[in-house]
Amino acid sequence: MDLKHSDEDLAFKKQIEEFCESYVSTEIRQKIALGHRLSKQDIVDYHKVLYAHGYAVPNWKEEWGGRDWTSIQHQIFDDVTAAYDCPRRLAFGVSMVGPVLQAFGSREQQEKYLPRIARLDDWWCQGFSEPGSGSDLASLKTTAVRDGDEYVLNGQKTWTTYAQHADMMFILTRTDSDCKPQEGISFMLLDMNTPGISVKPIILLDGYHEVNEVFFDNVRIPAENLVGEENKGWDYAKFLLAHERFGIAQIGYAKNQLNRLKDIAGQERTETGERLVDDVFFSQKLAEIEMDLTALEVTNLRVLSDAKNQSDLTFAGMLKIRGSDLNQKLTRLIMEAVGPAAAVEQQDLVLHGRNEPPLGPDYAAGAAPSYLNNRKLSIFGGSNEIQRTIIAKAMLTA
Amino acid sequence: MDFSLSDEQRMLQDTVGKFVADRYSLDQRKSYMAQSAGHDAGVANELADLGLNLVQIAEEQGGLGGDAFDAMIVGEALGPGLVLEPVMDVMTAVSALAGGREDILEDSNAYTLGLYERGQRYALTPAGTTVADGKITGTKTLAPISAAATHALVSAKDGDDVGLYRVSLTADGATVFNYPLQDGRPFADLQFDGVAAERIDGVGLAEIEAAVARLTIAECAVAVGAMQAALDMTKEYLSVRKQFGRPLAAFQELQFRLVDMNMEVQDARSMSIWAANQANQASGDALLRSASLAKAKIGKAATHVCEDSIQLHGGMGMTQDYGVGAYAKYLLTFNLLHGDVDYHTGRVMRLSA
Repeated sequence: MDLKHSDEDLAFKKQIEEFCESYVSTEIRQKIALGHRLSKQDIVDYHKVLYAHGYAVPNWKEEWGGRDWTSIQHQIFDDVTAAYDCPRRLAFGVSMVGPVLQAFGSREQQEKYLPRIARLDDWWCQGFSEPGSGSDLASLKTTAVRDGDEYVLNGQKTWTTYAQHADMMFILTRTDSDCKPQEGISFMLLDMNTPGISVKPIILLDGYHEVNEVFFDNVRIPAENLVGEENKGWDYAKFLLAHERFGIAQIGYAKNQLNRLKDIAGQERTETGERLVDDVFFSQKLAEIEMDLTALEVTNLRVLSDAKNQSDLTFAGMLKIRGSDLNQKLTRLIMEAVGPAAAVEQQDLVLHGRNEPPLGPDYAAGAAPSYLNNRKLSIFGGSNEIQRTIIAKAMLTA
Repeated sequence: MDFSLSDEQRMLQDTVGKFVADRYSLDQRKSYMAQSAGHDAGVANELADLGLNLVQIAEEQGGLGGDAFDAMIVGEALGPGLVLEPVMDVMTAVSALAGGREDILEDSNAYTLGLYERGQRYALTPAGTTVADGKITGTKTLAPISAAATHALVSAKDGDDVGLYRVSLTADGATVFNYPLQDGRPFADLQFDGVAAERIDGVGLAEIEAAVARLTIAECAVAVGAMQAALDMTKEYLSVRKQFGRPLAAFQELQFRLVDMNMEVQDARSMSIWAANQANQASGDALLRSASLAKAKIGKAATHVCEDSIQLHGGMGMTQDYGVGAYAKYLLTFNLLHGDVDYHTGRVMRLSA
């Protein structure tokens, strides 16, 4: 047993640190540090920098630009970029549809889409959830009916993150209703410029336009845009969600949030004039969250270091539950640390980068919006209740 | 011992409840928030006509002679409406701080409260607002403001002497910076640069602290009303929303979560009743300690209800347009005003029972 990083990993870490310091825009990092929102251009710019340095798609096969990093190196990359207030990589292309295409797509699909995903020439969104099919995803009803060389799509998706920016959608459709729900689903690639698609914004609690409803009215998809086999889409979706779940522990993000919390608590003073970080209640909470984070970080490393653990559903669900709890707790504590100044809504500043001086300290405006936005962590990607059900099943039927 | 309401109290509850039902649906509220003042002046006038400002004013001064139970009844009935006007501030704190002056009591709707300063968290001792030669200078934050506000009651130091001053908001040197809170209520920073200030006789730091304690207890009742509304909405959603072929309410895990929310709300209501009783009887440190016990307990309940009402609504809970989010944002803001859970827990420990 040796919990030290190897010399090779330490060199890798240094290389990523240098990248963050030298090449990532300070303006973007400042927005992240203050809990302000990135524009579409910010996200594109960051991705282009990643691409230029070979960091856009390290999780892919080498043939398509992947880097053959170890799991630990992926974690180091996430930790270091989070510590330097870099954004999280836009997941839909790189972590979701990209791996699916490499595993199940045709050669033509791979050649057509993968290089464009790597460069973020196409912005992808995910067409999974529907109004009646959230946790019960397999009950989805959006139909794709074969008509010659095309499928005709009708129905609705919802909670579609950044559909307003998207060029392409990977979508689960119902291609057979006379079978078990899971056995009549197909995985398709949809050009968002196809006639018959309408996108309607859903504004979240923090005022942010992040998700959308997407409606399909006789939208025609070329049959060549079917991924893998018809009615096998559920298997591909499960493959994809397994990938999504691992990133969701967000250890690096949590560590960075903890540092930010300590920093704010070092600047804020209580009514008696002592630093908040020295306040008996607050320092206890800091200590407790450090315990939680330390345990979760090591659990995450145990999973990353052992392929057997990686396929263990009890671990996948645990990382999602513990990671979302921890990040939610951290944003709540940041809001508490900021105190009454966090009660003031400054949406123009947080969402649109308005150039007026903030009311109160610069870290105040983003605190409550981040808290509210992070409530989604225990809801999306399989709610924490669903995760517990999956873990229970895995434990009790093993 | 009797927890039932008197006929007068029931009438008060019905009057306020009817106003909220008629004028303060969450959709109506949204349209009021969109107006430039952040609320609707006409609806504010209707609210003023209910005479709630007079509830705690003595009968010989033209008021209703009510007590903290009456304030609680009003607060809990207002809660489901998330009313944008500073009703409780005026009813409890302005009334208490007017020092018996009839000119203020008669026109109490025109008053806001400048009691907090930036960077001082929940402290009520003025740090940077001073009075010299009858003129006040300094900036106050988190003042609840309505379109009707023309004056403020502002705490300030004259040397080491803490006093409360009546200041015009339209005088030269007075500036109002309006902003909404996270839950949409219109608030403001008040900046004074050598503005004429008239001291309110008989009001010092102890009186200010007592008035804020009474306001805090009244706000706890509003929070109870809001929590109940969020709970009702969540119960309804679990009954209607189906996944895996049955209503969410059929899943035991979610049933237990709903039951826990209900227990939080009932505990909070009990605490609110107890605190109103204390407000009727206690003064000095005993009053402050009672307000702190209540706010800390109800603040914890507010966080629980805020977070679980979102969680049990799933994605719908995350949206700005679906009502439960409005309650969640109110409840988080409730915790950030007049002292959070840690602040009040600390005061409970510091002040002997």
